[in-house]
Amino acid sequence: MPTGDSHSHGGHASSDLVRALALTTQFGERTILDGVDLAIRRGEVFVVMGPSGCGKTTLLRHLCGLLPPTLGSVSVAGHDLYAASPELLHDLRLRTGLSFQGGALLGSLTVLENVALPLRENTDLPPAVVLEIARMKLDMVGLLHAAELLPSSLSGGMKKRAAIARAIALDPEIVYFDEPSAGLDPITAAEIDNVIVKLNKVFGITMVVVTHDLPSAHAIADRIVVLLDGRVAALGARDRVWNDPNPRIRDFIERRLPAEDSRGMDVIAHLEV
Amino acid sequence: MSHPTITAAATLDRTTVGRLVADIDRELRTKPARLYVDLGAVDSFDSAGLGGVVAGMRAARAAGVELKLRGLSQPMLDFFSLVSVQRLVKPDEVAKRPDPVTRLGAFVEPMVDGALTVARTTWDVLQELLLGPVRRRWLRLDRTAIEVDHCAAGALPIIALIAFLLGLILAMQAYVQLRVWGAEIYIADMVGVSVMAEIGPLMTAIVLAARSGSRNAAQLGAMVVSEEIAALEQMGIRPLGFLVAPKVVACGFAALSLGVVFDVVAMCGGALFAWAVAGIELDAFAEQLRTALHMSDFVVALAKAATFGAAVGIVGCALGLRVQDGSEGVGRATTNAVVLGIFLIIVVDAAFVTCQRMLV
Repeated sequence: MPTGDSHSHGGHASSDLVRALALTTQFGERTILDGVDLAIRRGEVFVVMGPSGCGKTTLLRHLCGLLPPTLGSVSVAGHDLYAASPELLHDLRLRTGLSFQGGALLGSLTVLENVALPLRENTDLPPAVVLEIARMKLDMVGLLHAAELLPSSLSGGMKKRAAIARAIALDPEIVYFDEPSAGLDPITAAEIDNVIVKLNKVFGITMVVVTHDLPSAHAIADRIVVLLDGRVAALGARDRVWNDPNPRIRDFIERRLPAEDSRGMDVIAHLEV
Repeated sequence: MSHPTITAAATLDRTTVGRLVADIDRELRTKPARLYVDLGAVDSFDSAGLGGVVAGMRAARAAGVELKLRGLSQPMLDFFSLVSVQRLVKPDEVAKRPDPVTRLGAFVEPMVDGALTVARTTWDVLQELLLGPVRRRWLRLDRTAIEVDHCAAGALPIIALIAFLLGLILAMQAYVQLRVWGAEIYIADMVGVSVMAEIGPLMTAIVLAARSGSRNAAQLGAMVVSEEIAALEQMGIRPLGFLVAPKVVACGFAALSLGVVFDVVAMCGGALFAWAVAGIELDAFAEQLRTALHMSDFVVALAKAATFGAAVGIVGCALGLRVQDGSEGVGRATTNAVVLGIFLIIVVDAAFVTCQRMLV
């Protein structure tokens, strides 16, 4: 199994917060994921990398309980996510935060109300405390000045930061990020990376980051999994994966184009000889 | 050489490519074994021009003619290196027309699917409202109030206007008929009964379908597209309790309250016409109304209006939450929410009238 890396905790199952077993996804005829096994350890920054269309986002949706896989299972803190009772699933969801690629902020609520929403809906805290917590979370991501704005008037980077603030509103054990730096300039992307690492260090939140941004992955990851064509192509500590000799991993890490496809000079067949 | 040759003009771009394609087509019709296209004279070209050449190659291949190019310049070769000519000229796979059963299935399936979705949503909402309190989940009054503000308060002016005008129109129609027998006083019966039994609940529900059914479908559909629904679920907030149930209750309540407003305003309109044109005193009109209408009719009318409203709410929410393919899907869901909503109103109406007549 591709869980073996130099720091393998073999047998210490308790350090694994999330375990995915033989995840397989089929949409009609298309196979998106094909037998993905992985384990995410408590307190680490785990990065899921791979080219567009390799199944990263699908994997994320399986891991956080939004999309049941065709085959295989996901367990969080020892509970099978897709065999859980509605109450247990609700409980597991509250221990999980998710920052969507486009933010997915509710358009009818201000940024502050968006961040306050999970607290208001899932706790009995007094409204004043809820707002104070929400303001605190917004300040952590550097967005307090935009608290009263509607999502439609935010820039891409601000939306992502607001989404992160909302994802950490309930002090989750684990937060998933879908392409946190996609569509951002390098400076804003680095700010987001910084927020992720800071929250990981200070609160010990387990971070699972799906990205195709190589510099960002290298900057934040403790461990990395590389998906290619719906399979685990490499899994392990960051430096190990970064130096993996597998040619396809090398292609990806070194941003080399894959071998030429059939495009090219085949017009020659139509030339007069 | 016996093979025909077509020579392209010095400029091969979107303004001249039509001529080249026509030339190639004409030559192909003579069925030569081989056709040469000489591009040697071309000194400027664009992708439309070379697109025409590729189109010619495809036509030649389909006609079984070997087409050879001559005189390609280096820029043209560079251009062709970006694409695979073999892949481009490969004949299209002709999609086979599906058999009649498959086509019928493709036509019927979305309807059945939509009906099942509406049925399931109805079941879910009923469960939420009836069993929710048992599970300590109460209707979200704060969310419901926001929806009522839109569905009911927002529709008040247009409902009042339509009701008043329809009251006038019905009175006018009745007056023309009743005048012949000198029975003008029965305008009150005509207006009162038709408005309360049918026109009031129906018109209210149709306005509601157009205003709020469409709004619900579009709003929820857009929320699906922007992953807001997924985000809510992920935060442990059930869309059914947070969005759908408040919207359905608000639509039911709006239809009920607007229905009452409609009845009253339409009867006022009728009375106004009767007084102004037919010379019937307002007291007499009111007295006549009192004998024509019964409390039980009023209760049935209210129940009907509330059911219509709830149906409109359920259809809008069910179709909105089912949106799959982006903005196109949102548009389709919105259209269907209004069409299916109005259709369902009529079906429910038929069921109501049948039950009512069988019981009485």
